[in-house]
Formats: sequence, C-alpha cells, structure tokens
Amino acid sequence: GGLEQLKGFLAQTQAFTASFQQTVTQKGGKQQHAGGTVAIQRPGKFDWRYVKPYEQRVVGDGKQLWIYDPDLNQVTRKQLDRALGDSPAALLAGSNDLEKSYRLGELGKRDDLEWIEATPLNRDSGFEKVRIGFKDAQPMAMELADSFGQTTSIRFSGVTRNPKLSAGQFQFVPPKGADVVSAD
Amino acid sequence: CATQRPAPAALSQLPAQYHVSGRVAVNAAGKGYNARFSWSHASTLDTVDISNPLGQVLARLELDGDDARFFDGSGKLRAADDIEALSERELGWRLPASGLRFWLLGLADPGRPAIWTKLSDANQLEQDGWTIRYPLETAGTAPTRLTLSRPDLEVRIALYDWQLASSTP
Repeated sequence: GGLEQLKGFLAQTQAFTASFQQTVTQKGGKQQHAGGTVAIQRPGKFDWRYVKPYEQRVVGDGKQLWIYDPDLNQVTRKQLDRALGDSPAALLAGSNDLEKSYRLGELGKRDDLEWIEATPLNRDSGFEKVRIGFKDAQPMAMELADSFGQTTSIRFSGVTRNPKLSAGQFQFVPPKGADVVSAD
Repeated sequence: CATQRPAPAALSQLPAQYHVSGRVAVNAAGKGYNARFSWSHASTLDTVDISNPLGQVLARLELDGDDARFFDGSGKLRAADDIEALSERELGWRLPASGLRFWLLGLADPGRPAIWTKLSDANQLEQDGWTIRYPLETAGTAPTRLTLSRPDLEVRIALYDWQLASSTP
C-alpha cells in the first residue's frame, strides 16, 4: 500500500528531479494551471521552479526557505520548518522526519497510484491535509485541500531518481538588486 | 499550460464585473511576505482570496457595500470593522482593500480626494495615505504591475489573467 511505498521512498530515494503540473480547482470548478520543474535532495533541500504562467523560485537550502519572484524583484526568506505551506517539496524533502511530524493514513488505490494522507501535527504548517500518490515507491502526485473548498493537485512527470546533483543547485544567492526580506 | 493573455485595454470607470489574479510581495521595513491573490468584483461585492504559492487560501476578504467580512485560513469569520487594521493583525501587512478595488484597474476611488502626478517612469496616484505607482510601460492597458507604498510599507503587485465585463451604462 501507500505507507509501504512511502517507507520505500524514504529508504531508497535521496534525490529526484521532475517536471510538475499544478492545478488549483476552485469550488465553482474554475481552474488555474501552473507548471515548472523541481529538484529534491533529502534531507531539507529542494529547488521548486514555477515557469508558467509566471516565474517564481522556491528553494530550500536545508536551513531556510527562499521565495524569489523576479517580476516583483523580491526575495522572501523564512525558516524551513514553517514553510511547508509554501511548497510540498519541503514535505517530500523530509526536512523534518515525516513519520514524526505527520499522522499518516492509508487511502488505497486511485488513478493507478497508491495514496496516503498526511496530517501535519504542527498546526500552523499552512495546510490541513496532504494526500500523496505513489508508484514504485516514488511520489507521483500530491493533493491539498484548504478550508474554502479549493483543491490543489500536483502531478510529477519525467522523474529521474537519485540523479547526480551539484551542491550549488540548492544554494540560493539573491540576485543583485533584488530586495531580501524576512518572513519570520 | 496557460499562457498569459495580454491585458485588456484600460478602463475609465469601475466595470460591472472584473476578475484578476495576482502576486504580491510585501516589504514592511525588512519584514516580508510573498503571496498570491485573486480579486473578483461583481457590482457591490468584492471577494479577495489571498493564498500561498500553492493556491491554498490563507485568508478571504469580502467587501459588501460598506461592510466587510474577513475569513481566516481555517474559514473562521473574524470581526472586520477596519480591514486595514485586521489584515495587519492577520496577514502582517495592511491591505487597503476598499481603495485597491479601483487601484488595481489604474483608477482612483472617485469618492475620495486623489492626486495624480506624471513621473518620468510612472503614473503616480496619491489617495488614502497611500502612494500608488504604475510603471509607464503598462500604460494603456489594465495594469500588469503596480506598487503601493506608505512610509513603513511597500507592496509590489504583479497582475495577470485579467477578465473584464464592461459595465452597462
């Protein structure tokens, strides 16, 4: 089941890269699409880049989370453990021990994936529940719901497991001229 | 994936309906926030959803005529006599919601004093204690970039996915 595949993922996968599609569906059915690429290196490192419909980069360097918005020329910095709501990559990167920080439940098979549900134990993590769908011990989809009837669904594709990643990939250096502010 | 539609032509008055998506970067004297938002205007009701990069709504504002409702991240209704003060408490930064309804469109609120100034690189509006700047290169269409500032706060906004239903006179 999903929990077994989660254990497999935590044991076998130190890193992965993929493309992602993010779809936010509002209660009325209206959808907003966004997409980009992600690189994850456990523990605590990830590089989540939105490419469409706008550019935005969310980087976890193991200690802090950086959100860089080129159009707005601002970098927002915050503590990694408070940043789960900002990027599911923080959860997949296991910046904190998944089994210790979440209540995990089996949800069974759907869309050819085995699903689990993770409920963060720390209340202000930015989301209430997240569902993760696995295939061959690899997270292939995530779904989040908020209190306003909106669901965010993320699908990974073109996954490469345990690729060779340069250390610099997860070092975020604010570009010259960008304003850096702290959210803590 | 969705490519950005070009922004429609600028309007001279508040349309009956509009919808726009945006991203906001706030710099409150070095303390900062980054969020996404959507603004839906329909005659007297404005609904503003503020969400995290994943689109999860962190807060919802409803401006209905002259009263206002503020729902926090868990959907709980909070008393909202003064939206700016409440948003500062809840979100950490002042959100001038009643003015923004007009400012997002590049308009001043016709009901209150306003000063327009043409700068070398932007059109500037001063209203309600805020200074709003529209980069010149976005002139002529519904704004795609604007910044709002007060002595202690700068709010940068990028707008996309404009949907305007022209008002029927």
